[in-house]
Amino acid sequence: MSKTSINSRKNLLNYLRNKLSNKDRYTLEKELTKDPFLEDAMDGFAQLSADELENDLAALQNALENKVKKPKSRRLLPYFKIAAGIAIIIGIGSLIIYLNTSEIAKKELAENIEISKDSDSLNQRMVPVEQARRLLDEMSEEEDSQQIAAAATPKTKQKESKTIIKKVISISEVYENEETMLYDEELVLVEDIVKVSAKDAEVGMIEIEPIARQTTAQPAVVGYSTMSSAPKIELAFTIQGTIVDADTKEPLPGANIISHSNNGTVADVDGNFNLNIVDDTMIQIAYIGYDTKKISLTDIQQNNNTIELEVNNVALNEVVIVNSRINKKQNTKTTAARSEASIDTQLSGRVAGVSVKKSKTSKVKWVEISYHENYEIHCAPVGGLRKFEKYIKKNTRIKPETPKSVSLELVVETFGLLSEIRVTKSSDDTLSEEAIRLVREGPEWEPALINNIAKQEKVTLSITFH
Amino acid sequence: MEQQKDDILIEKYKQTQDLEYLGSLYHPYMPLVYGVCLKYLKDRAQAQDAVMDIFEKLAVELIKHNTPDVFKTWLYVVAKNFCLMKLRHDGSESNAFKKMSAEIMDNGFSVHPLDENEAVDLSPALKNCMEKLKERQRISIELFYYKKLCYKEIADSLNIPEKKVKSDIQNGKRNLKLCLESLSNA
Repeated sequence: MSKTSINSRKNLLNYLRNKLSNKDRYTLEKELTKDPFLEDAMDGFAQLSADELENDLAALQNALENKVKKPKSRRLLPYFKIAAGIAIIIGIGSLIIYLNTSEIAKKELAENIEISKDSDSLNQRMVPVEQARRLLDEMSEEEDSQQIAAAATPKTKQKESKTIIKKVISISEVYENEETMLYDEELVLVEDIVKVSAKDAEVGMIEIEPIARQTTAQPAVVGYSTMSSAPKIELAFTIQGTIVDADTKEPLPGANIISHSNNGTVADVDGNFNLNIVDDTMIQIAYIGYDTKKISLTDIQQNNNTIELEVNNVALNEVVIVNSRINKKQNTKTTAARSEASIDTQLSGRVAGVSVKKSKTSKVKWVEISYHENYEIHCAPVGGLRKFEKYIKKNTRIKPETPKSVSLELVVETFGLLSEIRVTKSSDDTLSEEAIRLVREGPEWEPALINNIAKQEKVTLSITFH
Repeated sequence: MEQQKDDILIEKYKQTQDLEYLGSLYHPYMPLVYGVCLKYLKDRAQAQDAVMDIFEKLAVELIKHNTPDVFKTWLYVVAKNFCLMKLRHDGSESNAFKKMSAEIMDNGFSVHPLDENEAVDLSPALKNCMEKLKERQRISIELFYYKKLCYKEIADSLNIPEKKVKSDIQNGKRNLKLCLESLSNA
């Protein structure tokens, strides 16, 4: 027996029905040990009677045949697919055509909007939203009553036109939102509310009879609208003019010309300017160094569109830059600390162009500073020499019986620091040390100045102890 | 030979994707698949649905993957896995699932020494282990493998139900296997 026949339905069924010979049985059973697939299947078969199994297998066979046959019906499927596709295309096509016809109507309305927008009129009545809606409702009521009376055909057309109105209103609502910021009342871009009468023949030819000629949104002029979404506003006047100096008649480029807090311009290189203004307000022209001028439009026009500015009498001071330093100890500016010095020194640094030759020494009773350089302003202890002398008198720990002097060489740096303290002449070492200590712990020094720039200076300081 | 036929059919199906070829391929094995599904799913209706589902699965898998070496074995594995998945899907902790997975574990894919050859040669080890078997198991095995009696005949001669014969032989085989393994490990 071949394998196929062993596995055949017939054989299996016969086995189950005990119709096989022992030998055949054995063959099958032997096969079972080798073929786990068969073994498992036989285990499964044990659940059913042979008849049940036979039926089931027959059913399965049918099912399989059906499944296998399906492709033939599937071959028809592509045709169905094509047919479905064509139907969809036709559907979409008709939809597009329908939309196009209504698009045309919309466009015509839109064109009318454009035309009415360009109209120049100011001060037109503005229709609040509620009113507009009421109007629309009234209209639709009208239409409804008309519809009942009218014949069958116009009915559909009116419906369509109604939808167009609704579309129009929706545009205006969108517009509304954009404009809410500036305006007093909510405005409706009521593109001439359409009065659709039953007479109208076709959808695309709606006669626009404006009920209320409330057209393009004319804003209440609160201020200059800088919103880009708002329609451009035609303003009443444009001034042109030239700003010149009253005396020299020279143009003043860069002069500021203002009509409102947020409406202004600047004169160009030749002093010319253009400014849009709403009405006959005053215009203000300002320029540094000149008196600010307020002038009306009529005045400008009378003066041949030239505006003259008078030079400001309050002259500016010359600017003199002086090095000033905050005194750390006293926390005050020390520019005035030079009061000790002579007029020469006071002048120099205060008046531009004046520089004074300094004397070579500065002296008080017990302290003397000798200068070696020819600086405009020499370095000096803060507070002046007199104060320095007082300090020394107060703080000296050594008071010799006979006056003894110590000479020190100092280098005063640009920040006023003493970078060098050196004894040049002294009779007494302890005195020298004392002198050095006093200078180090003493008041700070101000540096020398040349052309108002701090400079390092070497001076000789001699202190006489007494 | 059958295998060749199967392979040809598979190739043809792959080329043309014509289900007719697949149907011809599947047809002879359908009872086996049904049996397996019956065994694991336990339910007639479910088993029948499973047979058709497995057919559809074949349609996909054969195209997706390379042609299996031995279609029959591969089909067997596919069928078993399908049933396993179905059981798991229906209720993972169900007894049927547990039983099935246990069985699959048990059977493995290794062929029992007794079944390897047509002519059973008694290697010493095998002989040894045979003697260690329980009486009835040993007898059943001997009758089946050596005397080549069918289950029915064995049942008749031993006066035990056929099912008992089957289970004796199965258990005997398992015990032999264990014994042989232990011998080889020692």
